[in-house]
Amino acid sequence: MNISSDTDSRNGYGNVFIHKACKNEAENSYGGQVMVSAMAIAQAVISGLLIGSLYSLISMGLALIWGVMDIVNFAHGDFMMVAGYLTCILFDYAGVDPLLSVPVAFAVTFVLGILTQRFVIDRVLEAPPVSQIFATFALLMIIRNTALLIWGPKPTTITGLWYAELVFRPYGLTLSLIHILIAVICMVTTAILYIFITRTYTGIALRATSQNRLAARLLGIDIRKMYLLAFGIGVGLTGIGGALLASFYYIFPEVGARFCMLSFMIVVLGGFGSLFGALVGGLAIGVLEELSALLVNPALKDAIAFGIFILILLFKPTGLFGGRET
Amino acid sequence: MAEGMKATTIVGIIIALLIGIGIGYGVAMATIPRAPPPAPPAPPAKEVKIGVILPISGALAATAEDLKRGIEFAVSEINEAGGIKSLDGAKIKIVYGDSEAEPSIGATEAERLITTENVVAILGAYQSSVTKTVSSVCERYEVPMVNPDSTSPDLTERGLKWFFRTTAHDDPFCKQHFEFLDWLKSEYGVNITTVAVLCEDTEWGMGCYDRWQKYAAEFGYEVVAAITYHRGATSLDAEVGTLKAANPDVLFVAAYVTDGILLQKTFKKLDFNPKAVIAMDAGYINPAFIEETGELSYYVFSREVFNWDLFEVVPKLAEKNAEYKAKYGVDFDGNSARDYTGMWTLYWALEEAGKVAKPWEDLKAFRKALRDALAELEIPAEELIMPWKGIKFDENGQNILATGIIVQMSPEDGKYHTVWPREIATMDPIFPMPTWAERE
Amino acid sequence: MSEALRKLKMELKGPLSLILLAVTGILITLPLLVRNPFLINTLMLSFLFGFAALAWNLMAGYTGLLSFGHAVFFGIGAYTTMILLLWWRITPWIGMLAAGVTAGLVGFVIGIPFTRLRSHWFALGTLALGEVVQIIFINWRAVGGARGLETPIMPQCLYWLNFVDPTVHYYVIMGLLGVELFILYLIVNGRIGYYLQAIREDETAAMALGINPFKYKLISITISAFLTGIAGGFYTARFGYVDPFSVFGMMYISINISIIGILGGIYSLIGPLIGALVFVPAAEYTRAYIGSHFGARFYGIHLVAFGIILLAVCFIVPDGIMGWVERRGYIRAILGHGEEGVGGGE
Repeated sequence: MNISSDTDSRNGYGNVFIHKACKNEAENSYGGQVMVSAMAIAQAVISGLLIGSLYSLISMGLALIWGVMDIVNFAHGDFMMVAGYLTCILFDYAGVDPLLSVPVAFAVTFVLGILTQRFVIDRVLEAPPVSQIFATFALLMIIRNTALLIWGPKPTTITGLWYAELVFRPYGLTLSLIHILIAVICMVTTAILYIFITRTYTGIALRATSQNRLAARLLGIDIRKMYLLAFGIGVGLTGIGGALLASFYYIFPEVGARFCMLSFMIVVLGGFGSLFGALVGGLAIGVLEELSALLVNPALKDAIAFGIFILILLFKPTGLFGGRET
Repeated sequence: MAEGMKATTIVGIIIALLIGIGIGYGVAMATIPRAPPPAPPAPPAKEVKIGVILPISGALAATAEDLKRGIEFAVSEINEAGGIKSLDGAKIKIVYGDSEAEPSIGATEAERLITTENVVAILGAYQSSVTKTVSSVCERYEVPMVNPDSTSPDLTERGLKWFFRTTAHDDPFCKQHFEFLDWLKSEYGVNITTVAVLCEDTEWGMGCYDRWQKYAAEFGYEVVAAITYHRGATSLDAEVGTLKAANPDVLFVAAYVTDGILLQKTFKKLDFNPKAVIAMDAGYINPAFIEETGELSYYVFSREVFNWDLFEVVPKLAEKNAEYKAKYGVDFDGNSARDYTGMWTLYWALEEAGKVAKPWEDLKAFRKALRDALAELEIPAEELIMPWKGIKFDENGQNILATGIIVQMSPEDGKYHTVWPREIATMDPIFPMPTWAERE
Repeated sequence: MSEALRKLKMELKGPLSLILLAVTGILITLPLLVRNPFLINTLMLSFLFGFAALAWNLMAGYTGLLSFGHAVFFGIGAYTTMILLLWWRITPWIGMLAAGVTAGLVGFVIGIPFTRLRSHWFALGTLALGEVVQIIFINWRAVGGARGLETPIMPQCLYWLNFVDPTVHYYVIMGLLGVELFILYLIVNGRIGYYLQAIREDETAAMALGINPFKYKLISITISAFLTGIAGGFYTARFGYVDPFSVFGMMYISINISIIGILGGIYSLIGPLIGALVFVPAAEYTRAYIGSHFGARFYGIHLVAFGIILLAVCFIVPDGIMGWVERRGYIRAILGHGEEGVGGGE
């Protein structure tokens, strides 16, 4: 382990950041000269990549669902929330490390996904987009508020992890162990997903369905099963995200909202239906967030991300790697 | 078609009848002079209704629970001691209104409590934005409002006549921070020239943001960084990184529980070591924060309104807290204590108002009497469980005898101890704060 | 337009006029009959949300443009009225009109790029837009930022539209609602309405018929924004305090309006109004008589219930309450004919 505690780290950012606040109350205090060191940018990029891997994971789930079933799952973030709560409960009552609960989170969320698909999504697949959108929205309301009823609005978090505060400090950067572990798990999961999609029969069938439903049917692929699988896996990936999130963030009923919005953006950015696009998009958004917080006013970092999202929607709705449109 | 016609005719006749009755009755009510409606009959066991508006549902539900406890404890004490003596021992009855943390809903509830439930006064509403609309409604309906727990300075800058705030607000709090800094400088001989400000971008946070900078200028400190953040961020690395690069001597923070926890973790992670971190209550004094951060929040200062160790200093508090704890299982905290005090303030004013008017005879006159009683109320420090000099409202409705305190988290027992004002301090502040490296 | 007017005149010769008269009569005399300010307040709020939902539905139901960001127009309307009131002491009567115009302009500007988006993309885009605008206003100190803008205590008179009693506001919003219904009726039953529905059904086919979808979508968005802005202005007049969290609120405004719309029936003209008259009183009374008593422990139950109802609506009656009423033939029985312009979806 290379955990440095050099006294020099007090000024690890190169001290070249000059920042004058305005004495006038009404003005925004970011009026001043800003010069940022290369170190700060590197730190932002790396932090962004680490957190972005989590975003990627969640978004790949959404991309899968969207690609195969052509449905926008507004309740996506809430499955993550449920998995998060599950992880917290497992930790509190059975002392299970959140990173180890990942398979459990996946399994439970997968089952939830299949049930949801079977009883809810299936019924609105052939309905007009309005009904589809509102159905998943209704799902969002039900899941979120049931969680509110059960667990209350107070955020829960996992504390006391032995590795929670371990930090590496190579070359003046700061990397926390938890984020690295999370990124690793995300990459591993992505690799597994990739193998599944390209090497197994079912995976290939899924891809076929996402490319052309009719043709897939003609080839003898059971579409109903594909839908169940797609939704289950898609939501299961999000569940993994929830378990990972619980290890360093906090879980509360509304937590899904932000990640849902983020994953929409990422999927659009990466190209509708493209898993690779979601992967790259997630990393990109993570980096974008950190960079814009550093270089522009941190209070606006969300606005910037959403703004870019809107621009992409308007000018390149197929995203970076996307194939089809509607 | 014939069926349709028949249905239509029947419907048409019914509707015409309804219209006739409606218009006729309406005309009658409007034109024929009637005796004024009889005064509402006095309820068998006399009671006085007080409306309480709180964010009962939603994200602040836990805080509302806390506030409710303080209020209900006060009411049970008052009623058991015989109710309002000047009103023939009438008991106080609380009627709750849920603001759902939304200003317009708070206003609607206030209206309901005033017009349908006929409350004599309103207590509430914790969030400054909700208090704004509720107090506006109260002002127009001429119903006194006691606000024990909102700290936005704007509330007493509007020239309202029916609004009374017992707690001190963020303006004197911020000023007090700087008085404390001056004292630290002279007492500890450590140089403090630069400060930084980190606030969440809500009404409360921005209020602190402005006032810290205003007083920094007044007291001669340089503000090297002023950052706002959005609640619920997954990472505050960039914000803390900026702070670190600006290298302030002292950091002021206005944050709620979850962001506060993330901040402390990030301070350690990025090795941010100002000489002191001074928080503005809210998240930083919440038991959940204290528990979750543990060692991470040692040495942190915070503005508080109240602290457990005041039991030694405020005699009435020790006695009351024992009873409170026996009943509810927890100690008083800043929120429950303030609302407890607010309810008692209302009671004292009710006693005075009861000498002049009775709510069941003339509600309007009683509300006016209550308002006048509040305006003239003077309560000495000994009656209160808060570390204030007493209660006395100025012409804007602000209690000028209320003060805040500053506490510091001690590394010995992980609890907050009072360090300022020095007269009631129970601990000497530890300053400057040891760096993260030194704490290992 | 004239065709729609002619149709309206014909309609009014039938039972419709009786019904309108009856309903209006009852609503007007209600405050005199029932001295319950809470009821009047609830009705006023229902009308307000109904007003906004009707405006929303012009886009959603008639043009097929689902917007989850209507709070943008509502909030801009609210802020416009507030700023005119605070800085230049202009009466909210004019303020509301200005609010509508400003919101309409914003709608027009937003609409130009947004009309290129279809269904899901449009919904997502409006969602993101709502968030962006809210964040902008939170950080825009010049118009109050997070602390919002509050009116000072003003005399209670018609000039300021400032009354503590809800009765006057009740009449005002009722009047506005009547005007809006009239305008919407004309639009929906006129040429524009038919074009919009054609675009909703099949944009390509509409283009083939010579209808310019972008032009008409833009018209739809602008009018919808204009009307929603007026609703925002009314909010300012009534509550006297605006901040980015309430008037640009996603859950409180955008989502509320859309749920009301779909519940009531997006394929009917008065559907959203019916939805508001069901949804808003339900929420108000649940809060007042259950929520306030049992408090936090059961918070969320009514939302879960609404979620389940919404799901049921999506499965069973996608055209909402009015759709169900229409299909059961009640409208046919009373009016002698079905509702025009009803029906949609694939």
